[in-house]
Amino acid sequence: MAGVELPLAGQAQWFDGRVAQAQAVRWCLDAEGLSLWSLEQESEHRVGQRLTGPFARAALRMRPSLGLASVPVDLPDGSCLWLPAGMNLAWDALGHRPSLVDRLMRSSLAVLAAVLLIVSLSVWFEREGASQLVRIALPWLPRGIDVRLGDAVEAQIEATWLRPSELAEPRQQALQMRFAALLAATPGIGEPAPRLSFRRSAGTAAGQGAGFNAFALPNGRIVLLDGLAEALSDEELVAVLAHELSHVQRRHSMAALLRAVGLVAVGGAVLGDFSAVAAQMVASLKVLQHSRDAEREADHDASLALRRLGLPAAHLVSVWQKFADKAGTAGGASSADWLSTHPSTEERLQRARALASEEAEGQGGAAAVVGP
Amino acid sequence: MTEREERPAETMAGPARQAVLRYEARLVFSGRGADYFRIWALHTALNLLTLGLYSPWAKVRKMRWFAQHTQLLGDCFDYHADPRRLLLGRVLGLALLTAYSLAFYISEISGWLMLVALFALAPLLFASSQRFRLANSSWRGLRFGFRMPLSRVYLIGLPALLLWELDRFLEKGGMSGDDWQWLLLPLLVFLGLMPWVHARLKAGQHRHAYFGARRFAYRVPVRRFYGVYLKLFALLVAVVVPLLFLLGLLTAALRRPDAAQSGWPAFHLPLTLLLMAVVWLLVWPFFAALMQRVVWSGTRLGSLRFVGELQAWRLWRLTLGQMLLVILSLGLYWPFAAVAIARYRLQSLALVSRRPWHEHRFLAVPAAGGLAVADASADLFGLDLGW
Repeated sequence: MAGVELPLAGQAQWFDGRVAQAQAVRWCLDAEGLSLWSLEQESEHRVGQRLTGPFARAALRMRPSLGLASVPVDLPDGSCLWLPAGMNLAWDALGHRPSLVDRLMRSSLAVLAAVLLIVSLSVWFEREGASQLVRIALPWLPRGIDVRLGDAVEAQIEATWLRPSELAEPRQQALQMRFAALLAATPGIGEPAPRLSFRRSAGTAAGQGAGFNAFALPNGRIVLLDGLAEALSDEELVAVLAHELSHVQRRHSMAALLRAVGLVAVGGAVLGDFSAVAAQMVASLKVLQHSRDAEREADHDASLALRRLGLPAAHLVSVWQKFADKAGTAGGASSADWLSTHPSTEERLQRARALASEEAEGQGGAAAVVGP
Repeated sequence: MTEREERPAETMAGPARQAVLRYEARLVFSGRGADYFRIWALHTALNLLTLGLYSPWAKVRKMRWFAQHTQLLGDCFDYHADPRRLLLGRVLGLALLTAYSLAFYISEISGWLMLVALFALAPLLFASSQRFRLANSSWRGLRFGFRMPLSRVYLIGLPALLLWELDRFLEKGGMSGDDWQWLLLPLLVFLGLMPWVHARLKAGQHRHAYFGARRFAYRVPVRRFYGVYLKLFALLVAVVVPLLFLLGLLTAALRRPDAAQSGWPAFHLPLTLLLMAVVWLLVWPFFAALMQRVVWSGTRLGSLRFVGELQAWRLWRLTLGQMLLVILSLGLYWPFAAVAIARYRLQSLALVSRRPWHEHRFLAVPAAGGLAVADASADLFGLDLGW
């Protein structure tokens, strides 16, 4: 308040808080503080009648708003004085220092910086930030949560859309042995050990080999549906199981859950002003994109597992070929890539083919070295 | 009070050609999109940096900006909420929401306990958030208010909750299945009761609102809500059926052989969300316009009448155009769109009086305990459910 000479006075509009009516008043700031005087009697008595005050400067609260012609000053008695804006002198005299955010708002540079920050943070989070944060946070989450979550989902789907398998007992045993071999060949299998079980999808009648699919739950349980088990050879099923095992080991479900929480939070911060629904939608689309990345990762792990077991990558090709054939005959609905939880079968087929031909070339090269 | 607003509009009534004085005033919104852009940019950046902790402060400043740029008879509204109260309300709200969504996963008993708690608390929270919003709003230095007797709170809140939880009750009561009647029956009950519940909520909101010591009056027959909902339903059918047809064509054109993985229900989620967004954009403006006219035209304050003049087509064109710009600008146009839509919505509310404006005297609630003005917000829960 250095440089401001008291007393300071001026005219302003005042609302007394008792009746909804504006009063033109004369305000005066002196050593005692701020007081308001009526204008009406000024001509007769030289000095108008004191309406309210004096109030100490510290008890006054200014609430400026961008683009407003006057600034409301809340007085301790519940009334409100509207001072014309732009009176820096009065502001200083009242001891008001606008908050940092209020000052930043008036600076175009700060606004530009804020926009750049929003854009770069959103882009970074979308590109890699989410994955990095998940990578950091995942080890802190105990495995027990995965198991509990998996158990809950398991109970739910067992009750609703799974039925006991009708796959022949010897085949089941053969596949269990294959699975055990796969586990033995996979490094870093944690507790609880993954289990394989056979089920039939509830939607279709018995004997039709229902359910052309397999899936893994975060508690380590891998479910192979009869439809897929009947259509694929044992070697091909090893590829499928290795894929599902990768989901369990890499905790893809938990990572997706963490990512969803983060995306909803960031989406809410950026879009919350517009609509919480829009934020939710953008977040769920992003979750799906990462889900496709997880599928690609699992496909890659499956190809590595096949190699460790000494099986050719060609099995992976035939798995995707069968998926493609199945979809072709079933004529089910498809949709754009960005709306899907999985990469397209074509893409996976191409990737597997590339891998298989690479492997063939590699073997050819090895043979050339070893051979005569 | 400006000259324009004080001038009475003369209308001829009856064969006697007696001039009936009619004073009209309109809400005026003076905020500029460029200013709101500054506010929005800084608030969003701060929300991101503080992981959302700043949002109550952002909300208060935003609400204040909108209120202070809304004028009636030359004087603006104001918003006074304390951000710390908002923060508390949000933490509480988030805790309740988490508990509510997890309760049935933990155990059946905790689920039902949570449901009982919800039924006991939710009507109170609804009333509390109404009170918070109104008690923190003012015009010409006089606070609005909301005072609803506890019995009314539950009488209005419980049917709404029952309807909201209808499917859960049917499911837990063993009355559910894949049969069509179990899908159709709750839907019909829901559609049949929804307008009634909505009408009661609106009536409760408006009838127990105050400006100073003066209470608002509200009288809208429930059948007018049924009328609005009937139109909404017809519009939904008119929009959704062609849209689904179009979608069918689109998926047929885009068919790709990965149908084998479509077994997961999550697969259809984003498509459903997208469809809902399109439908919302096409239908919401009509619904909002119809509702505004019905609700406000039945509202009075003393001898003041309100007239809702929101036009469905204009709101629709405006919303669609603005949303297109928002999408084209990757969201950066949003603050301008928000201001444009708010301006139209606010300015289409008019007040009509038969007496000159200065004859209306609105007084504050007589204060207790020496204070000149009763601090209406002192006893508040501090919960604001609107994010």
